[in-house]
Amino acid sequence: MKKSTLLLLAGLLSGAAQAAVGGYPVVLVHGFQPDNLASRPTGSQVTNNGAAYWAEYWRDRADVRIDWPSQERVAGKIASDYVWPKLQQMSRNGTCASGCIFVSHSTGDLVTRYIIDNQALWLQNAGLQALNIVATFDFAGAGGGVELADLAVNVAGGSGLIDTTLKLALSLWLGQIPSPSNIGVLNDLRVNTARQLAAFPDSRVPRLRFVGAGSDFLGATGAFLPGEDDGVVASHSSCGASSAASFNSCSRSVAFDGKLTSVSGPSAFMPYHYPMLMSEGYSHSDVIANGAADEVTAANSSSNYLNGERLQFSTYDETRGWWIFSSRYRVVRNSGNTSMSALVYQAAN
Amino acid sequence: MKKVLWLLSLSAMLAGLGYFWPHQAAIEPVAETPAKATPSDGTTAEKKPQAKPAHINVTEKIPEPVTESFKLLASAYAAELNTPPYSRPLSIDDEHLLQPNQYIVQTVPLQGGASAAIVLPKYRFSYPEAVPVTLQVSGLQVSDVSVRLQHEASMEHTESKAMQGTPEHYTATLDADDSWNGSFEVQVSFSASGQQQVLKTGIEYYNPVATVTAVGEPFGIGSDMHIPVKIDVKQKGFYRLRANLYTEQRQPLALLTATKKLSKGEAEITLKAFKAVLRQHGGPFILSTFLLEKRPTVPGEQTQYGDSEKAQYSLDYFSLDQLSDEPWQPDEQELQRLQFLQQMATEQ
Repeated sequence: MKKSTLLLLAGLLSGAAQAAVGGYPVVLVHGFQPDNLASRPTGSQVTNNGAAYWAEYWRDRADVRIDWPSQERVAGKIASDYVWPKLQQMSRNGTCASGCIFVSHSTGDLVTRYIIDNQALWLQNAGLQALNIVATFDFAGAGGGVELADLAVNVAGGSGLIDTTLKLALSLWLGQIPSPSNIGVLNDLRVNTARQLAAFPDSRVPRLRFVGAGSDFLGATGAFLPGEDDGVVASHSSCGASSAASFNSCSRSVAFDGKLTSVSGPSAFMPYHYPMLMSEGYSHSDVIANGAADEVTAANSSSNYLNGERLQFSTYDETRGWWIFSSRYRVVRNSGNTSMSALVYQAAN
Repeated sequence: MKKVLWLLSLSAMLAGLGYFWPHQAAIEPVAETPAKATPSDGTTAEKKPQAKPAHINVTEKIPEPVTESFKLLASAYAAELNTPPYSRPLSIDDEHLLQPNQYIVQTVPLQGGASAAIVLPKYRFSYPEAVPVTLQVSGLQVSDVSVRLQHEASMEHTESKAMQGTPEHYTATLDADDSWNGSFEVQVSFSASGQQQVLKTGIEYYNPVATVTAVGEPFGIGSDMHIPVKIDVKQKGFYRLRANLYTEQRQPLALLTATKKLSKGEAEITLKAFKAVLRQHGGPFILSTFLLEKRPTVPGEQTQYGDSEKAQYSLDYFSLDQLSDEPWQPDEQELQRLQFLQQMATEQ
């Protein structure tokens, strides 16, 4: 059956769906919004912030958004006051009855994992049908924690002896240093806390990871993050690695820029976490934007590329007396002029 | 960022190098030192060490459709579905599954290149365990080092306790209080250079709501080795029990998971190990790394935790002949997920 026919059938089955990935309705879960810590939005402000967050690319390609304020905690008010009403609404409307795709960014990855772990139990306890989550697309996922959040909590507790460059980097990320009583979801983003929150849901929902290694802060924050990072999230977290170590790629045989080479990458990932695409030039915010920031490479490797002889070699050309050093780069076709989000969306549609 | 220079024409490069590359690959020479490309006299570079040969860096770009990545994903996910979700194969690389209670040290950079970090033996503690706290300091002389716990929700805190030790290593042990329950902040204060600094990290401390008290003899049903686990339940609720199954030599075999609604009192949860994850091992086994959770049944409720009387239980030999070789059949939703990934892998 052709893909177009499959999509049409899936679209018909999903009823009221207005937008789709692979024929399935799309649910958006945004990330941490630093200005929330000071402004403490509620009600419609939270909704407006959520709409603005996704405006560049995904907002008009989604059916439902789960918007939440960053001054709250994931397992606290975010779950009870913001996630739960949307879960009930989606269950009653049958949004995910035939399956749906969650698209998350940054901390939305952690919120989504908490949802995957708990939604079925909560909805069934309320006499409602559990959601059928087919897959998640996690852009710059922070589910493995954010070292900057650990540092921010420490700086918020009094910054007398804290390194000045660190304070500057945190100011660039957060806009201002929060007070100890106003840290909200930053507490959940601390590496240890994040990796313990709903660490391993029973449901085998595939978590597809899309990862950048650029920076929105001219590299100022990267000095405080292990390995490669996107300016906010280190690669161990965005790749979904099983350990919070210093990694220079999501793969051990492909670098962020697509170079086929031996590189420090995770040896294992969190269950059902699959690095899909990565790019050297995409920053934390670029990955959900509507512009191409750099060429993109596949973050996983077929056995062909695991053969070391294919990665790099040097040859002496006796005829010319030249040594030839060869490097090979694997790039996703059309990625030079298509945003990472669009590449994913187009692949599904 | 790869900054490269384009020094020779593509045509010249292709003429010299074309035969090295596969036909489908695009060749893009990107850098070269100024080359004195004298014709070869038949000797190799090794025979003429005094004449440093020129070198050329060549970059080859291999364009791939995005669907290639999804093909690999679909295969990987299909492999996951060969075993049931309640019996996941473990490898030595599954760090967070083998050490689910690991505390990952976070170092805080201080002025003048100094740094400090709170070090804990684990993330989650269970009453009546004490909490040993260490402050590691580098490049700074500190004084008046003390530690206290603060409950994250109520902000109530314990009295501060002085930490003792060497200039780079201060320790204190906080004795447990049976009122401790939930998420806490470990707060370590110290002074240096006339200023005070507080470092913080999060932990969880729970008064166990249930306790693993015994593990029964395994028995076979179908393709699963069943392992009954006795639990003393103090609070009724919806429980999830996880434990790792190892060989006698502590080689990881599988992460076993079971969920059950339990009433107060003596209860039992049965863990199941699928035959394929046993990898021909018939025992003895070790069952260890228990994680007993009382799940939040409504949003906003916090997860509570149980504990185990023993860190590990031994299981005797088990005849694998009792088990059938029936392949695992994924459920309808899992097949739908696989179908979606395969659909993504289809070229348009």
